[in-house]
Amino acid sequence: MEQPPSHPAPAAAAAVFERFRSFPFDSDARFQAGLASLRDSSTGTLDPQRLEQAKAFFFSKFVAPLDLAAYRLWLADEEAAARGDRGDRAAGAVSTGGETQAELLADAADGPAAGVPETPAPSAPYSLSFQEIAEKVARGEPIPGIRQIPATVHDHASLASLAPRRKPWEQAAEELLAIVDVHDAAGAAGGVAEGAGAGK
Amino acid sequence: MARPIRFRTAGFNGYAVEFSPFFENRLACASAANFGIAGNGRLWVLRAGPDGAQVERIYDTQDGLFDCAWSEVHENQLVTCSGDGSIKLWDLSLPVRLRMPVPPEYVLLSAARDFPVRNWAEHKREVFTVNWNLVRKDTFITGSWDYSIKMWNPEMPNSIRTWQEHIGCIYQTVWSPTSPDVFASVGDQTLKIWDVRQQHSVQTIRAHNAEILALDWAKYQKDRLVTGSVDTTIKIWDLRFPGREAAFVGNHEYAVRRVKCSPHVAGLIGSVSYDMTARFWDMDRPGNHLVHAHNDHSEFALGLDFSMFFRGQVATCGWDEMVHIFSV
Repeated sequence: MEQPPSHPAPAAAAAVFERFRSFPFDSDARFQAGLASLRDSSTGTLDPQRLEQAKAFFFSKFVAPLDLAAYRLWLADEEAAARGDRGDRAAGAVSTGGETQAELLADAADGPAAGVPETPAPSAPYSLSFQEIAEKVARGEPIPGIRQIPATVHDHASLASLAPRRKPWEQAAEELLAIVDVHDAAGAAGGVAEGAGAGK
Repeated sequence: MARPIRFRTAGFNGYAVEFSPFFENRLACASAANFGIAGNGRLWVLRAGPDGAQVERIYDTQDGLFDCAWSEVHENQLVTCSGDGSIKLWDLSLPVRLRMPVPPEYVLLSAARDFPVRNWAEHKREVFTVNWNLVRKDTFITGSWDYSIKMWNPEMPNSIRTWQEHIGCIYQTVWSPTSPDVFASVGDQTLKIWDVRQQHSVQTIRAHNAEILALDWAKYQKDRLVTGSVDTTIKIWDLRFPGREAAFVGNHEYAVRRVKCSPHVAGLIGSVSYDMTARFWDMDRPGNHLVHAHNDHSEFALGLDFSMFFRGQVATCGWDEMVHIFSV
């Protein structure tokens, strides 16, 4: 992937990032309570990426809006500056992080995702406005949170087991025909039920 | 069925919602991140129940998804079309698993996701519409911003037919509900009628003086279609009298994005628009045909469908990342 142009975070954003980096997640009771529900029930662990996403979500909701992808870029810059090099910061920072809070919850719950009805805003990567995205595209800047998905295709498919249902308008047409038939046959009662009874 | 359902397609802006023709509680939503400008797509397969809608499956794609259509012959398959020109067939009954090799970060993020059973990449630009044949049921059609229409069979590795006649982007292609070989398309201010056995369209109607984004066939009057346009109007056309519209349905405040004719009630038409509303029209009601306005979306409303099972049940979706299921 092409390395994005260097665009230092504005001071206000940097202040938020700094606050996020130093936020006392370990001692915040509300965060720890929420975290418990995300841990793998068998091992009690949570991988670092999900932990960071959970932190970002919590921070956005209760402290200040945080763009996680932008934060990662900023953090990579900070760390690179601390090391004295300006290496390829974009390599891992841009292409991950598309996971939303809804999915965190969905993936955390075992089995089919446990509904997402009233969950609050997703974490930062997709929270840009239409205008912000349009402007980024116009300037040729990378859009955060885009994942590379392999072009894999299954080598087989399943077989159908249900017969197609009659469409409502097909049923109606059959019922009409049945009625016409009855009239044409002048009282011959057979064959009425069949058309009308097909399908639901 | 009873109470309205809200479901959040978190992180993804809805483009299309379609009820399954086989299962009364199953529906799919085609969506795109970042409003479809750039980024991934996601197909949601939802199960609507008394406690709201739940995710049955999630499938992610490289580019935004703009439309989807359920197979009419396979209860567990559906097809999507995408901003990168690709068309994908999904099979819900395959066990969820990942095929190696895939990048490690993908494995990490994709516990509940999987891949399609087919991928076709013939269209050269955005594919905005896909529709499954309702009568013969063995094919589907797609319409693209590359101005072409293609017909496909889910078993075949390449498209079966290609038609190149529109001189602008194609926004919707829809099969006739009663004739096995007939479909219609809209785009560049025209409505075209096609017979798959013929190389050129059999009829062209200049239906609006602006781009036409929305199209459906009437289910109970075989010569009638409904169009919706950037000019904000919705019109009914009778193919036997193409000189002018057969009826004027109504207006939105902004461009009309999708129209659907009820499968149960002959005169009932639904429409969604960039004015963020879904509106329902009864053509058998004299005067103002508007019978219901759904004003609960907070962004462009782009997807709309009627249930085949429950009379009056509809679903809508839009850029506000919401799917609404309710009754009219």
